[in-house]
Amino acid sequence: MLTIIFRYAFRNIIRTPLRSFFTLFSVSLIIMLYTVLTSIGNSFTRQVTTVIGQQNIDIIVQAKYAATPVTSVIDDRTVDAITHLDGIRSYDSMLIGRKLLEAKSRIFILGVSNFTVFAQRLGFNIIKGRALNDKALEVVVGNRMAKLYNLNVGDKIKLSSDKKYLIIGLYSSWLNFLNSGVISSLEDAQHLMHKPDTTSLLFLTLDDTTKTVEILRKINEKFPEMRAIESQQLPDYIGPIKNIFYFSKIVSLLTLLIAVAVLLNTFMMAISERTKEIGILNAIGWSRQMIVSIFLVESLLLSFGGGIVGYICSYPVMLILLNKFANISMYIPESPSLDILFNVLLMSLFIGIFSALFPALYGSKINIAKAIRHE
Amino acid sequence: MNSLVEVKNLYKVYDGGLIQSLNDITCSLEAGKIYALMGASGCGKSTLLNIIGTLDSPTSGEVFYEGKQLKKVGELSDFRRNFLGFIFQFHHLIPVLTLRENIESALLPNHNMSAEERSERAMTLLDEMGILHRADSYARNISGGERQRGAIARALVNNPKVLLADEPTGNIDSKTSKLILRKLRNHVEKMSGTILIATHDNDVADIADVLIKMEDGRVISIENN
Repeated sequence: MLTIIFRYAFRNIIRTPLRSFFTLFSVSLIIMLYTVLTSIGNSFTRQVTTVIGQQNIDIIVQAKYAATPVTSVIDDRTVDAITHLDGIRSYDSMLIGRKLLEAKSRIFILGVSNFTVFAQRLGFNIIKGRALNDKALEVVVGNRMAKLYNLNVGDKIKLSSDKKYLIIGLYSSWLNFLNSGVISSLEDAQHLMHKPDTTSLLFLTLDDTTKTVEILRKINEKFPEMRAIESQQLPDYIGPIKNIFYFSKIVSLLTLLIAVAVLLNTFMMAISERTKEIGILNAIGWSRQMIVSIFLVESLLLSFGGGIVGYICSYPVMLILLNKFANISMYIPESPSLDILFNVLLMSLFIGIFSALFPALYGSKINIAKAIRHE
Repeated sequence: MNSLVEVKNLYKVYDGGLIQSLNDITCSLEAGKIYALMGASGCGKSTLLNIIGTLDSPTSGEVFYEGKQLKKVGELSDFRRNFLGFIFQFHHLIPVLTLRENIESALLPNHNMSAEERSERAMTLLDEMGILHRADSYARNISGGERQRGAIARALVNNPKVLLADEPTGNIDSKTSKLILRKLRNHVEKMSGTILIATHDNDVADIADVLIKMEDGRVISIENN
């Protein structure tokens, strides 16, 4: 039975080739947009969340009114005071900032107090040259940035108007945005970003993790201009991540609605054109469910076809974006992830079912005698 | 008497009573007989066929199938498939299906039948109707007579006891018409069924056992032929 229903549905699709093509095209376009935007959003969120949600860190401190780590400023006196509280075993600090390079693109500058610790936590691999030590005017460069500016170990890069920095290594990280950046010592980063004696984030490791809540309370009470949180909570406090999350959800919802509207319109027309056929099928003993299933299969073929084509087309589009918009390339993954494919398939299922269900149910309820007379 | 269909005091009005299509129709269709339903256009023949065929509902009155009220026959789609067959004036084949698939489509709701059985039965009927060579052709690519024979094969494929035909020979040549009528007669005898044919065609009337004449929504005479 399924074979004939599939054949019937497929031939109905090619019966009106232009309309089916444009329907497929519209669904593909919508799904492609969804895939690209969600990929960028997810990539950014995932990268930032991973960076700041590190395990092995018990407490993170950032400035209370800073929307992002980039705008967070903690001065050295506060760092000193916090890190001398009871129960704190060790700490690391990080300064994050962005810098416009040669008026071309924005790169991340990451100043770290201890490269080895951060390399471990953020999953850096030195792929060429050597790791950073505390020596001034030395940097390691992300592989994507090295490729973009044709840089290599031994080259010197002018990161500020007055100083050149020696590239002692190239690194790669699975966090894309970090691959478009430069890592230096904390002091060099403070100089580059004109933020002397400051840090963006403070990572605290405690002697006893059962006392986390107690120490959190103590820091928040003693340093009202700071916000101390458990490390895994940080993404919830960062406005842009929340916004990107909501943006992603709104894009998904709009995508769904537009695609449903496109297919719904196609199927309302199809029902109107095939009213007589519906009547005949009823007359020869087809049940309502069977008639609905024909339209559902057609709709699912179109929505899954559009979904898969849209997903595949997002690959070249993302590559084009990656090459054309170097200044945001840090947020653009090279390809959409498999979980987005799963979402696309789920959305295709939803789009297919909901866009055909109403027209098909409506069509299957038409008075049979009238349907057969329909011209 | 072995009544397959009994119609009692059937009325059908449209547009809130402005158009009275059927007016107190009472008749019965017995097993083994062919009935010709005759009358001028608009006298209510098609409406009566549609109501007997459960494609439309009456305003009042009742139709009994082998003595059972319609509401007691179970799922309507199953009932149509197992008990009724329809032949329309125009073939009404599904244009995107081949002739064989069109016939198989009437067997699809029968979940107990395998694909091979469906195909075999469809091919047998196509052979009997003399259009086996057109099995894999689409309806748009074959002649009017072949289409109508295909439509009749589709109506017969479930071996229905009651066949309802609306001008089945209206658009075909006399040779095909005779073949179709012969096939319908064979079916009635084989199934101990009945056929109600709405027609203007005297050839059709000639093969009927009973003539039912209608005028302005009423049955004016029922005569043995």
